[in-house]
Amino acid sequence: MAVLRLLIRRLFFALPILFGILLLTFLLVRLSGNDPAGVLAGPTATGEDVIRITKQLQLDKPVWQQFIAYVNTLAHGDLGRSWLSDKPVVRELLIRLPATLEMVIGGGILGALIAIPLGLRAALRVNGILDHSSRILSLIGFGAPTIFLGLLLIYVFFYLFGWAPPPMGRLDLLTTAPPTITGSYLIDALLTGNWEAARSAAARLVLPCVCVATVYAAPLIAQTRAVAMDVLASDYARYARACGLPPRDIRRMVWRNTAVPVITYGATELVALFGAAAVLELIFSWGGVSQFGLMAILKGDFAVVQGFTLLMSLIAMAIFAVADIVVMSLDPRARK
Amino acid sequence: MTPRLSRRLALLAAPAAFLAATLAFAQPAAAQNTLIVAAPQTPTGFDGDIPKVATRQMIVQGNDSLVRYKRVKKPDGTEVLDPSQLEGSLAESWEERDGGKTVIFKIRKGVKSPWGNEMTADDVLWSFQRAWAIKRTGFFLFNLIGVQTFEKTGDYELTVHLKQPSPIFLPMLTMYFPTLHDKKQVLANATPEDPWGLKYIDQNLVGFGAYFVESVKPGEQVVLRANPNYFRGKPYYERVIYREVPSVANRVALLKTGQVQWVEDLPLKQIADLKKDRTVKVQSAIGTQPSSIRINETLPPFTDKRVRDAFVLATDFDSFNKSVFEGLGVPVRSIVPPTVPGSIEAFKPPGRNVAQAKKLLADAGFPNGLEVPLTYAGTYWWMEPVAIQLKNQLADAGITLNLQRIPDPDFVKRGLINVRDMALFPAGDATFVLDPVFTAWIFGYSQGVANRNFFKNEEFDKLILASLNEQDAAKRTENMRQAQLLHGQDNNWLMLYYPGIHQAMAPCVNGWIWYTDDWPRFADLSCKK
Repeated sequence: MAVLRLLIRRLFFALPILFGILLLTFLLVRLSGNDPAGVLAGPTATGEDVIRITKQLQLDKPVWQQFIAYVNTLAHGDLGRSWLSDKPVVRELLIRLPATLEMVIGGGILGALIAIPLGLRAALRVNGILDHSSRILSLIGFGAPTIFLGLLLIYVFFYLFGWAPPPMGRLDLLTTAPPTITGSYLIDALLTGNWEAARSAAARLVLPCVCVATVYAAPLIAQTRAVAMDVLASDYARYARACGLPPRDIRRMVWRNTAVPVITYGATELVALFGAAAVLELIFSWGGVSQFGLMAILKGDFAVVQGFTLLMSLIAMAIFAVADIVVMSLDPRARK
Repeated sequence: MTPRLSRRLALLAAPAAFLAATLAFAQPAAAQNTLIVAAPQTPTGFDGDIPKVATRQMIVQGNDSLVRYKRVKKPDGTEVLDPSQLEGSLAESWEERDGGKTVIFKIRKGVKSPWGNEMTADDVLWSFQRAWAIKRTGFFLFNLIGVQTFEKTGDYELTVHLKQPSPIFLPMLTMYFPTLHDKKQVLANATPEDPWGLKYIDQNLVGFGAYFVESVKPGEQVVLRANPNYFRGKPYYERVIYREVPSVANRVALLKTGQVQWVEDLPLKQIADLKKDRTVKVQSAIGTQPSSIRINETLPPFTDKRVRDAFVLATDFDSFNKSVFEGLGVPVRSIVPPTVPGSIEAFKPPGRNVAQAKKLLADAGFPNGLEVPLTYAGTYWWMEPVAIQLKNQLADAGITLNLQRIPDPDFVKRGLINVRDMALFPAGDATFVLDPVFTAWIFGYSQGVANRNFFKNEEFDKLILASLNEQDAAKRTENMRQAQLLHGQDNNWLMLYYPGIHQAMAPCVNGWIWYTDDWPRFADLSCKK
């Protein structure tokens, strides 16, 4: 019941937030001075061609009229058409979304599996080997730009050692893609028993996921360690130790009290990963939605930029909602 | 084993298994007769009349033209185009009547599309009608050369009537537009709302060329399959996998490791490095794409020729080749590239003379130097480095260049002939017809589509108009010699270098020929190990 109440509340607040995002994105994109009419018309276009295309795209109308027209089409579930590919934006985004989800969620899970135990262990044994290791890993994740990290891994594991598959997308060139069920090649291949495709998809996921995991783990280790140290220094932790509670129970207590801020922080970082994924997708020729959004920004494809921003906002809201539900299940106070 | 230990092992096992998937990786060898191409982006459309992102490099694989430039063998055995000779392609031959106002094409018999439909005059007529109706690139060509009407005059014969005889008409038909389609195949997939098959052609190559589209994965790859009925014989590569690899470093690494056989669009830095690498092959051609800084003489301060002359004198032209073009550039000496017959050396860099440049500026009313915006974009990779270097050079003469980088779409729009509001900017337009009149026309005629800096010279315009329909080759050549000199002496271009067309490929790949649109034809290629 509490979960349902939370979801309804979230939905209620989501609408004005989404409207605000829509308006802001629309204004930013329109006022950037980027005009795609010239590109669409092509180098052989005459002035009349440019005027015709400007009218077709309704760019000759005042910005507020353009916004109303946009919201109107949006209300009908239509994000418009890409100005460069002339295809429905919804289709263009959805076709690429699973690739990004596969990389970000996969890397996020890997990062969390590394970061949380490492951060906890580092807090329990300050200045121990694991504490020093976690700091080094954090430093790498914080310090190395994502693009550098990606290129370095490719150079070492593909170019030098030949262990990793070539950075040419999500599947070997000659492997037949599994039928689309979820859009994730790995999951679809496993579901359909296409082991060759599953092996190929898994192999190609490794390096991108390691990159994402490194970027994700760095702040998460630091956050977990800091929160766990606070918990360990708290009165109730000292009291528990004084009462002679076994170390295992103390660790459990530390984790339960650390989990809430770590999960909330982890959700925020996970949302940020979708932005960082754009660079990784470019490097690994991933063909995901973040890369697509980045290219749309660079090429002035307004319709895609707006659709992309909206999609990212929805994803962020979904992640925060899931994080809240998890927090509710861990913390009884959150259910009140 | 204690439960604690086994739990730890289990925790370690998951990532280890994940990593093992990589370590156990073995890339399956590419199937024989499959060409794998690494390109910065995959196409978003396949309609030559409505080109979108990366359409041009695809359309030439599946749609042949009516005529083409003849190939001639060089002493080393490689082939090049001979711009002075045309030969039939989908048209077996042609005949000019009424002093060149009527051209009758004999369509080649036995040409079949991948779907087995034989090409007839109906296909050409329908394709021309389509280009006319949708009013895009093909229509632009028709207007440019003054096509009046066209009609079917036999099952394998098409007649085109021109307003005036045009020596440019046939060379222009070497291009991929108006694109020639298999009418039957398109109509079988067209709808009453879309009678010209826009949607179908947008996602398919429906021509009589060497390849057709087998599959498209947006943002990932396009697979082309050889046309089994191709009239020049089945291509060596039965399949082409055109893979999107946006990262330059990865495209190079993939070529070096033999994962791909062909790489597109590499910056000159990488080309220069690859030329020294024995594990790959790089072939080059000058191309027709000059890099230049355009000066708009209709905008102040460039209305005064002394200012333009000062810019030329303050520029160290040679330095650009080393610092920007990696020593691979070929100097630009005219608006007509050296690959086009009739090109002359119309401009000679006078040698850098900063003192003289300052004097000219002072004479023009700028004794304390001047400040000018240099507008550029990311349209070509060399634009930014050239802009930065020029800024440094001109500063010595008291000229302050304010570099203004604007988005690519804006840059394109501001260079259109109805706008032309940039005073100083880099440009890299190429001519796609190897004809001096056509080239001078688009670059230098006051209303030329690539005359983005509004060079306006009445004498030049007269020479162009007198040559467009001139049948006497000697007269045309002489007119264009004068036109090039007029343009060269006007100093409205800072003529830099042709970056060239450079193709990086696996060592075994042979057969590459440079085409005027700069895109390779995969059907030309083969692999001899």
